[in-house]
Amino acid sequence: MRNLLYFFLRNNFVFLFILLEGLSFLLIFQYNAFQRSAFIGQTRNITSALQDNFSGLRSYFHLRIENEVLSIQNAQLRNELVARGSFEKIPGMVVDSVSQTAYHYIPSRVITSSINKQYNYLTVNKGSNHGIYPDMAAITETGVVGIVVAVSDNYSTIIPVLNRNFRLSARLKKNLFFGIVEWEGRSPEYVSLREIPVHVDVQPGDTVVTSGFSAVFPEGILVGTIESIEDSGGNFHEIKVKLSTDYRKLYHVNLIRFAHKAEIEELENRTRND
Amino acid sequence: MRIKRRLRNLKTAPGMINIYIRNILSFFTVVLLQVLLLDNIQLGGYLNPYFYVIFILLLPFETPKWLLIILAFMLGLSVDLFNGTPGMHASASVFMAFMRPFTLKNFSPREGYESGTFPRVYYYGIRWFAKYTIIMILSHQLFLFLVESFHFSDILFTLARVILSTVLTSLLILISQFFIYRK
Repeated sequence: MRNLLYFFLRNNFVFLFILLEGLSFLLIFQYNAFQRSAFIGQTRNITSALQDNFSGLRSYFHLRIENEVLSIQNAQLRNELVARGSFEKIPGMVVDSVSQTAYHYIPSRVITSSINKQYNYLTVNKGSNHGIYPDMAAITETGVVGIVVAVSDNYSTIIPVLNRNFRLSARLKKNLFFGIVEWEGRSPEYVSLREIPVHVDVQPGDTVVTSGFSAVFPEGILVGTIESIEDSGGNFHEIKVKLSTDYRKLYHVNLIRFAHKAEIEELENRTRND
Repeated sequence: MRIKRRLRNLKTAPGMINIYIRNILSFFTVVLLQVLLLDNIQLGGYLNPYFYVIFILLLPFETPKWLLIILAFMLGLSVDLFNGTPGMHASASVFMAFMRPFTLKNFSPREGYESGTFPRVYYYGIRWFAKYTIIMILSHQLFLFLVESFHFSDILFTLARVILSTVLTSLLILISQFFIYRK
């Protein structure tokens, strides 16, 4: 404290100068309209530029919430589209044969996920309390993700395409030939499409979508694009498909509730029993 | 030879009490001269001689720095109050007073300033006084006009005003050395 006092006393000239200049400028801004407005204008320029940059920075911290809000909104809009029966107007979207809501989208957030195992699973933050039940489909904006296998009150586990137990009925978008999508357990970017007969014309770059043959996935959800075709002399193409969804960046997942699922399954069971 | 003559003259120079009274009178004189007479002179609509700063210029060398800067503030504020521009002349005068010790140190003669002398033409010659005055006035005018315009967009125009006004004020102060502040 005493040293501080000595410091001020030793430099009294400089501090007095600063003090009196500060006082002068206070008077200037207090009583001179032009200088005040110029000062306020200048400081506003600086502060608003600063705030602009800072809010740009700060907005990153709110991105998660923003994303969540957007994904909820997205699901609601999709629901509305389905309800209006106008899905068929949008290319690549689910075509609803009935003019009522057949598919209901529930947004959820991925809590844990893995891609480096042979049997990968995802966990999302929606459970039976939110109307989730096993065998619901999970998709993102970019394509298929997987199927709900287990449900607790608030969480559910999804078996993604990147699991060697996973089978998905998929078809070529251009000519409706369907096959089975399986993961070979190697790269998280590629799956293979099997059981497409050799006589079918398949080209790299062709789009693969869900067939809608199971009551799980709606028809026409994007799976990926064909990367390469290998023919080893069998009856079927060996097709390598590049997944459209990047499982390493999975964050928001929409779970699809199929309104007529029970009805279809009951019908199928009846046929099987006969 | 010249210095000896001047040192002899010092004996007849006013005593210490006299210096205070003289400077207090000088303070009011320059303020009144400035606000009553010189502020009504507007050469070319822009130029206004700011003669009042001569008070800071002519304060004794021994004036304590803190007193110097406080006097400058009071001087500037007095002129401001008459001009309706509170703070503007005060800030410029304070800046000028802040510059004074450095300027004096810079222009000091080899032997330093003799005690009992004042920063005037009479003691240190016209060359020394002109250098000292121009630097001091320039710092004052630069500060004043920058505060007045308060932005750097018209910097060339502002600088032109600063230079012209500095020349005018310096001339007035130099002339005053031969008529008013002879000693």
